[in-house]
Amino acid sequence: MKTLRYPFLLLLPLWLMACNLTQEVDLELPEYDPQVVVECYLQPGQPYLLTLVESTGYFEDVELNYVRDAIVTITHEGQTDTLQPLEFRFDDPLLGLLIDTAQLGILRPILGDGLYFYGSFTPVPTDYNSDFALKVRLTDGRELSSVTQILPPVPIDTVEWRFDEDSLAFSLTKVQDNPNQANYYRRLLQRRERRISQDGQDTTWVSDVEQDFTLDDEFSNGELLTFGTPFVYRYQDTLINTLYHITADYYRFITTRDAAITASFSPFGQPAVVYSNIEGGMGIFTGISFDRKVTVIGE
Amino acid sequence: MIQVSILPRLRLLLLLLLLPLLIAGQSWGQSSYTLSGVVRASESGETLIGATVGAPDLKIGTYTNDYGFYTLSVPATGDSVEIRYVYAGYTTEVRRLLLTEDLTLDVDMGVASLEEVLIEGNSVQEQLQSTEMSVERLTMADAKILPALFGEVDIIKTLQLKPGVSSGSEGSSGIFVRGGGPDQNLVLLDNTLVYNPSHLFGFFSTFNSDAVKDVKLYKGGFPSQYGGRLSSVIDVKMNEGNKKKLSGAGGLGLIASRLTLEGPIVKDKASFMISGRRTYADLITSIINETQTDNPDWNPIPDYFFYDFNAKLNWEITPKDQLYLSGYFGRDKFKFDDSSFDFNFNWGNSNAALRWNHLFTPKLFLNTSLSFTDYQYTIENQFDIFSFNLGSRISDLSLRTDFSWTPNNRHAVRFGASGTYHRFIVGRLDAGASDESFSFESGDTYYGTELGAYISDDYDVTERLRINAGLRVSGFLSDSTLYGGLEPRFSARFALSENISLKASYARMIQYLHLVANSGASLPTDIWYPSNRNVRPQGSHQVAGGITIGIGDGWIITNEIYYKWLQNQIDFRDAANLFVNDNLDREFVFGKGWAYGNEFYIEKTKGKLTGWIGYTLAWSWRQFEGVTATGDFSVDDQINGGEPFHPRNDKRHDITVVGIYQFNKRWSVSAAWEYRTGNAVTLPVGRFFSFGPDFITNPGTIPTLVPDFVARNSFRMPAYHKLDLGVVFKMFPKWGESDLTLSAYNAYNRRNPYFIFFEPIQDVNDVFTGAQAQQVALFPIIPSLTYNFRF
Repeated sequence: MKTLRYPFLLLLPLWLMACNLTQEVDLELPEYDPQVVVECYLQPGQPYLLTLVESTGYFEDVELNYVRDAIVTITHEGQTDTLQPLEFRFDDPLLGLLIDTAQLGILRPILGDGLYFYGSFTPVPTDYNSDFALKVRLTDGRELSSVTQILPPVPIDTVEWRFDEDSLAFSLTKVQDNPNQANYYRRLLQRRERRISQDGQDTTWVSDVEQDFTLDDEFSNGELLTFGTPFVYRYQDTLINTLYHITADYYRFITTRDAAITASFSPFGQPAVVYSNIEGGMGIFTGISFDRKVTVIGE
Repeated sequence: MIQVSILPRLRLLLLLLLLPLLIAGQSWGQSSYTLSGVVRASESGETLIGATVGAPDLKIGTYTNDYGFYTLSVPATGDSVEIRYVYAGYTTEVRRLLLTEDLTLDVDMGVASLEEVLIEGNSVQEQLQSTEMSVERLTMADAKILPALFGEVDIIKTLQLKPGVSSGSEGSSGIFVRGGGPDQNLVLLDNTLVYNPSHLFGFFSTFNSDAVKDVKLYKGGFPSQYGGRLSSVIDVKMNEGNKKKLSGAGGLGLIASRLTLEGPIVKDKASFMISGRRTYADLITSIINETQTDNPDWNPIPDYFFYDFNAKLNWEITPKDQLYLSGYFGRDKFKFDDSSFDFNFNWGNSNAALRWNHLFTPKLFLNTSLSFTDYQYTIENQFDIFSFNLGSRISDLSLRTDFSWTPNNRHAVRFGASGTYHRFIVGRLDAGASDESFSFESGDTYYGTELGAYISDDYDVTERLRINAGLRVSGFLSDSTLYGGLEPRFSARFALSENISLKASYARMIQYLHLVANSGASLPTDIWYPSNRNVRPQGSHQVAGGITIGIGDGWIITNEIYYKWLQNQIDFRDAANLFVNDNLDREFVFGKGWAYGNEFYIEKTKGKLTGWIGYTLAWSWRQFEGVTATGDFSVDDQINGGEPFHPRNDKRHDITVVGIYQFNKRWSVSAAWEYRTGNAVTLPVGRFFSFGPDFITNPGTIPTLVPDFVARNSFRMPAYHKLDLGVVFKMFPKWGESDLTLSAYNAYNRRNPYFIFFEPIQDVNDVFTGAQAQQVALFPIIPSLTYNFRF
């Protein structure tokens, strides 16, 4: 559905190719007031983790500006957890455990000295529809805050497949939407694929993202949602279907963020101010729950 | 504007309607005779709109109406009186008449054999004497002389060369008038509304130059017969068809060809006109695709073309009754076929109108029309066994009747009423699989009824002072909600001298339909949406004042200053989903706007050198402070933090210089230079990394770089300017007339900015290390050669 949102974009490359009239320009953008950006996703059973960075001027160097030494707390049902700064410098072998070496090399220009975030080893409780309150106090005295909830997961009803005459299969994933409330979802479909190295010696399993989009149920409230795929799967392909049940705040954060990204390269995009539920800063504090089904085609 | 019973106000309206009629009626007892008739072109029988009919000795005069009809009260002096019929480009006709009773006199005027161009818009005298202001009138003759993009003559683009009118972007046939939005223009083709008057994403208008006779654009001072839009009225009249002989016209151009045939069905009684136009780029692309059918690596080139078709029949049933049947049908078709993926995107307008003119008496003229208009788009996707079809549509059925009553030379009264039944299909979606493994349908249909009634009197108060006072009452019923309002209109002309007039106007406008378009471009997927309990009608007040100076016989200077207040302006929440959405109401935010400016215009209408210079200095603002439809406050309903901002098409300076030089009967050259302040656009000033939820569970995920847009439209694109040149060489073969038109669009090859985007700079590992702003221009210098003919 998302790919069809701007079908006229198909015409744009034609025009640009035909005219070849693109030229570099130097822009003098107005002075930018950096903002503190929070991202914290509460996933039941996972530790509390939070990233805290500062936004920069559009043409400044591309590097993560970590906001260090902040006091970060999350309070739930009267119990407050303080998230500790966690820093993994590039020479820290622990970082190699988190990120594989090749990827680390790619990320190095962005990550700067290493990886810096806040965390607590207390697992996020599986407690739906009750408030989690975030407070962040910066070293200069500024305070950021937010409140969110974790919504209960929405189960995936069925995952079906069907073969055509060329022995290719498509998949249908069905989900029953609750008609009594507004629901927001993130649909993630991955195909687990075995990749064999060129010399045939090594075998690795990778999960390619086939579909990743958000939707609200305004258009189909209370109906059986059906997510389809084209005929691209072969016998014994493994599909990982994940349906995240997300908050309205997170839905708006994602849609405005995507709109902002689109508008930076498309004349048809309408620039959007990225939605935030962080008082005193930018970003998102939200709970995430999901249901997942792993399916082997043909079995 | 009211949302309750409008009956008490209707009683007041009735009283106001009757008052001028009673005043006007007092003049009936004067001793005079009525001279009336129709003024036509002798070679075709085509009626002439706006021809001057006057008796200079008696200092009386009038103009033919939209159907070529005139009526003039001539005092019974007992002497013969000289009546002059004047129309630019035609030989003046003079009749000396001794009137002893009312007389009907139809006059045929012949084309003047002048070796010079005549700009046939508002004549100097008409502009000096009329109460109308803020009006631009063009005929196709004007547009055909000027150079055009790809050689496709476009009357809307010619209007964009007038002060106060601008296009949205390079090459666009969209119209933005005095700080108004693209949805605030009432576009009428033979009194029938056209909802999307453009082809190819706005690059070409739907009006085929060979089928169009006359265009009038109102930027303010709107006559009371018009309603439903805030910022302009574009009234396009089609040719009626040659009543004398079979004739034709056509042209072969760079991207399209066209052909028009017209002729009598019954000589001098009934005629027809049919006209068609089609682009042919798809014929080339389909041949290229066919040659590559055996190439598995070939990515097919999408096929695109548009066509339109105009037709008109007219029949003079009796000398007092005339019947017209006219229609328009146009489609844009975009098609992409691959082995497994079919994509078809079609859109277009359909219009039809049946119109009846009746002359009750030489002083009372009736025009009644029944019309249908439809705009729709459909997107059809087929991918393997899956289909996904989407579309929206608006259809109107309208009935309107207009009376023109000229009790004497001092009053010209117009009154009438109209009713329109709207049907909106919004976001119709059906998706499914051919094996019936799933199917899904959605979409909403809305209905609305729009009513209007009006009266106006163009009244010569004194020899110097002429006023036009009118009142329109309008109403709209949809979703069990009734909106209504009174729309007073007033304009006045005070003649300081024979050649200098001061003018002023006020107009209240109400708009009940809204265009849902969340983009700077004109897109076929923009849809119309009715007012309802959550979406209130838009409204405007506009005041304007100006001076008109005639110099000699062929020069005119006007200067107008205006201020416009806009209420209930509509914009959309950030990241609004306007494409597949059952509940568009929740995506709207409401605010206000205001615009003001000064328009200077000097025009030379006669001689070997003709043309004009226009300069507009203008400001336009919008403000969305966060007031919701229910009157509550919400930060989510704010745009730009609630602070005022310029809309994208705010243009501080707008200069146009147009010149046409006619060397002789065969050769003429033309040039048009435009300069406009760059569009106001929103650019990101900051950026941040978004990790997303997967970064924690999979830290190897590359964070997304997100642009931070702060202030709406706070950045200005570089100024837009270009020069278009044209040369016309006319030939006169035995069978008729033809010409070769060579034009150069953007002659000095200016790279005018269409949009700015940011190209990522990546290192060897494809990691983002920065961004470079890139400016995209659409059209370099584009020479084109068009062959036109007429027989």
